[in-house]
Amino acid sequence: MPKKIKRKYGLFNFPPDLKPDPGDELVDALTGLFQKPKYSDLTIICGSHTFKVHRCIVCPRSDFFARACDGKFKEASSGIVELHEQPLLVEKMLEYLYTLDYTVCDQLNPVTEDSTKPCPIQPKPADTDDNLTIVTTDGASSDYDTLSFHILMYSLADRLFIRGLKALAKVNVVRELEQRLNAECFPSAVTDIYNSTPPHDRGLRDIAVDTTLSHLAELRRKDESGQAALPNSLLKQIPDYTYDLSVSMINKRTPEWGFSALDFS
Amino acid sequence: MAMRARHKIRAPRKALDDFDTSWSTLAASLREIHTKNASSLSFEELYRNAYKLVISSRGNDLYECVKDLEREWLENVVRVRLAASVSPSLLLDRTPADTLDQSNNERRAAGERILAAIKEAWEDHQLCMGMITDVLMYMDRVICADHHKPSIYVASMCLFRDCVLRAPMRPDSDVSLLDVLKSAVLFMINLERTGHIIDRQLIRRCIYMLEGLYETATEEESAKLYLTVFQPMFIETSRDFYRAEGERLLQLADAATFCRSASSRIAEEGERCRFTLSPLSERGIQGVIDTELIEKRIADVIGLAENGVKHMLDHDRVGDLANVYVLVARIDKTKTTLTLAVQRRITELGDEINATAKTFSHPTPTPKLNESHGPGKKKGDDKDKPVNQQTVAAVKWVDDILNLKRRIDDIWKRAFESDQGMQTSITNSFSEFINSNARSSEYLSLFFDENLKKGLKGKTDSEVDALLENGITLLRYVKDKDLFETYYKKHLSRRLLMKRSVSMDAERQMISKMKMEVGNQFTQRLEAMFKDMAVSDDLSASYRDYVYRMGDQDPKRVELEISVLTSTMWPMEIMSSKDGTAQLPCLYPKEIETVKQSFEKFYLNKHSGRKLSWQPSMGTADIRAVFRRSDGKIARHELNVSTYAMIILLLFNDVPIGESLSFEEIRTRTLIPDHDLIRNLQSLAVAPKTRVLRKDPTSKDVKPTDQFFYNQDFQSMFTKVRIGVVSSAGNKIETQSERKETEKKMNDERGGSIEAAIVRVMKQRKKLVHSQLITEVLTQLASRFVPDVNMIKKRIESLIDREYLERISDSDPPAYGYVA
Repeated sequence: MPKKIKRKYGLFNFPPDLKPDPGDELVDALTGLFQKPKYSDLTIICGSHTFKVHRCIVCPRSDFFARACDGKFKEASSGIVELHEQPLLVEKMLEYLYTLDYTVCDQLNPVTEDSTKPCPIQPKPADTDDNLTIVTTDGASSDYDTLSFHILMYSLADRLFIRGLKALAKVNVVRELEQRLNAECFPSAVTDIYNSTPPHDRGLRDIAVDTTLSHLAELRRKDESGQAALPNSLLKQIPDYTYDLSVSMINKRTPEWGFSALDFS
Repeated sequence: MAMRARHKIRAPRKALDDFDTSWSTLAASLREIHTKNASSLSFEELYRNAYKLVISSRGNDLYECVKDLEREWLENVVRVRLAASVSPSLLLDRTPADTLDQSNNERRAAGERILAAIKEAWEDHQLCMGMITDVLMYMDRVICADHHKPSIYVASMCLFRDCVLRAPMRPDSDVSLLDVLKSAVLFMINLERTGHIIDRQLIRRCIYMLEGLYETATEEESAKLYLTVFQPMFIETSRDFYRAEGERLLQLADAATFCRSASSRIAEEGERCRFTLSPLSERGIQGVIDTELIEKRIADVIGLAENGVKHMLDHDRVGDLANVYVLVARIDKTKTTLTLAVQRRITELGDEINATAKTFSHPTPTPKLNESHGPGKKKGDDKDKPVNQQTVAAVKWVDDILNLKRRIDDIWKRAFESDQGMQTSITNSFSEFINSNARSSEYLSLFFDENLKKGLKGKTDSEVDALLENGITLLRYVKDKDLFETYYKKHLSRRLLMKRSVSMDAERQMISKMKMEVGNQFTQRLEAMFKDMAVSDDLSASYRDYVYRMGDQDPKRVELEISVLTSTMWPMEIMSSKDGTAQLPCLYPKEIETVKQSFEKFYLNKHSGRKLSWQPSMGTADIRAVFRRSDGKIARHELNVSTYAMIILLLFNDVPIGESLSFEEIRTRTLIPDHDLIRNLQSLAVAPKTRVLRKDPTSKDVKPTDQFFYNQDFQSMFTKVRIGVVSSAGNKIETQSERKETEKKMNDERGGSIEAAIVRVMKQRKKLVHSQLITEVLTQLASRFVPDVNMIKKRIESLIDREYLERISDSDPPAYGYVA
């Protein structure tokens, strides 16, 4: 489901006497290559989707692609890398590689249209008025959970060794998670985090724990349907999470640390 | 909310219990990599499988499984294959190389085979592990961070080390592949050292392997297998080789060949380390050569009687000497052995030069010289010659030293890289043998005299400059600079007064050079002499004006050119008679006396209160003489004679032709001192070409009873005849007694200088410990001469006696105070 991305912001609209930043020049040039077969020397196949990409852009940024292309495996000779991933995820990952950012925006989702939080993508302050639209060719709405998407992006970045994307996804997760401290989103986010990252990777796990501890009261409060965002069942279901939580709480309680812990009454 | 309805992208669920399935697919693929079938494998798939195992917390199991798989592969496939290519000859023959060529060749071929096999196995292993590491990239990251284990690559390298290289090849022997490898490489190196050609590339590749493997998984630099396993053995065998080599070379070859071989060995080993082995060993192997070939042998080589350094120095073997220098410099910063050898040779050569100068002076029996001096008579030519010869010897002595210096300097520059330390040693050696010749100051001054009188004729400015510069170099070596000054003054005064200098420019140049070299004080008096000469010229000119203005136009009047000398600046001793008795002024003929008195009047008018004392022994006169020969012809000659000779000749103006004057008569009428009289009469009546007087009887000696006639038949090809005074005009070497005189004077003068220095120091310090006083005096005087400590002590005593200083009572160490 290839999408057209129309971007109206940026350098192209600058008055001619304002010289663009050379860094922008490079980014814009690379952005122009995104999804274009021109110069392409590597194909990424993802289910039914095919992405034409450029080794010189993807390989230096991702050890995974570098090794796939440099080694003596099938990929190196065929120039095709098959990824068993969600096509949308792959597309956004590639978007990041070309534009240093990725967009998750759902026009059908009123929440994201909110003026205070227009879009996970944060354009430069000057560009806040600019619109960004994702149009799917089949007309179907991009039907996914934004938070979950960022978590999976984090996991993918981790797996493919793309450091910048990992950091960006993490920032996005933090922001989204704060908004979704409800019974529907929170348990599944925690589950996703603990399932998609290895134990040594503390990035998202620490966020989950910190967020939990700083909003404990809110999370434990039952909503109108009698559901809590942090039900006991979740603790039982994901032992790693429970373990991390208790360690963190113990550390906070330890008197030497000198700050008053949260009240659990 | 809108979101609730939405379906979610689910994260991959934890794979439970499918580890074995996943692993077996992965393991099969890894084996494919080892058998070089990787091109059909999908990297993504392998990576995904490994990733899944890691993400489901089975990373550690995966790691161990891969290790097991590798171990199994290395032990069962690689090691077996390698063991099969080890031929028996490699196992049996473990002593290196001096057997027959054929077995050498066999062994080399076998060695090359096994090296090639090891190299290939190693490179394969590296390649495969590289690919496997790529696949297990995610696992590596997790494992390394969580379990502090070495990366799978490092682990597999350790496996290669232990399972392939270190493990015994066959169950029945404990010989490992590593042993075989080491001995094969060392064998080949020995071959190369003995002039064979070997496959350097192959060895280098195997060494790469040893450099790439470590004793530990943490891979410290010092734990490289190359350093722990190979290098010690390499150094050991090299030591043996070079020990033998040193012995062999010393027996068979000369010093030059030895040094050449050693140098080329050093270069060879350097190259070997760079291209065949590892640069890591360069320092070690150079150390071996330094010890075995240089340190233990070089002293012998330098000292070789026939062709050692002595021989090289004598034959200007610059290249060979440079080799020796480079070798010695490797082991010894100060290059002591070489320096000593060079110094020894310089001293020897210097002593030879001294000896030659002595043999020149010895044939003239010294006692006779003593006898002939003073009131005794000089025996004309036959005395004159040896003295001249000695002068020549003195000049030759300086020339010889300069030649030697030039040669050594040249060698020093070209062979010894202008080494600072060696220069000091060379300078010391020169200074030592130059000062061991007691007459060095005199010789050197004579050398300057000779050159300034004659030697500079027809030379360009730069040549003159170089010549003088050379002389100055020697002056630097001379310790007794005050003695040199005395001689130089004496010689200079003669040059100035008799106008013998070729070029006044050169004289001045010389003075300024000395000033730079020895200091202002040294040249002060010399400069004063020049000033006197300049003032005298003016004086002569103004006197001539004065006479002209007086209106005394007597055409027969004697013209006067006068030099007025300040007596303290000039060496008056050369002007006074030698026995030191007070000298009566001689009687001048009337016409001369007039001029003399007229000048005195003129001069004292200008400078009242001065005293002029006339020095006829230093002057010359031009006389026009007329000879009425017996054949009727009239010959006219202009005679240039000494002042004394002029006085004598003027006597004959009043003597009728055919009549004579006796020696006694001449003496009483002139009052010329006997010594000078005899010499002047000798040059006028005995010297064959300048016989203006005739003597009866005709003999070579001048005796008081002799009669002298005016020689009307004097003949000469020249109109101008110069009649030198026998053995007085030129600067010559001193006779023994003159020398004693000079020394005595020198000592007196030094005494004065020492006292002055002591007083200067004490005046400044007021109180000073004895030893410190001595040191300060020594440093103050060092630029002029090296005083004798005893002399200083005596002078201190004398100053105490005269109450300039006092002993400070009960002071320990002893000290002195200054009495104001």
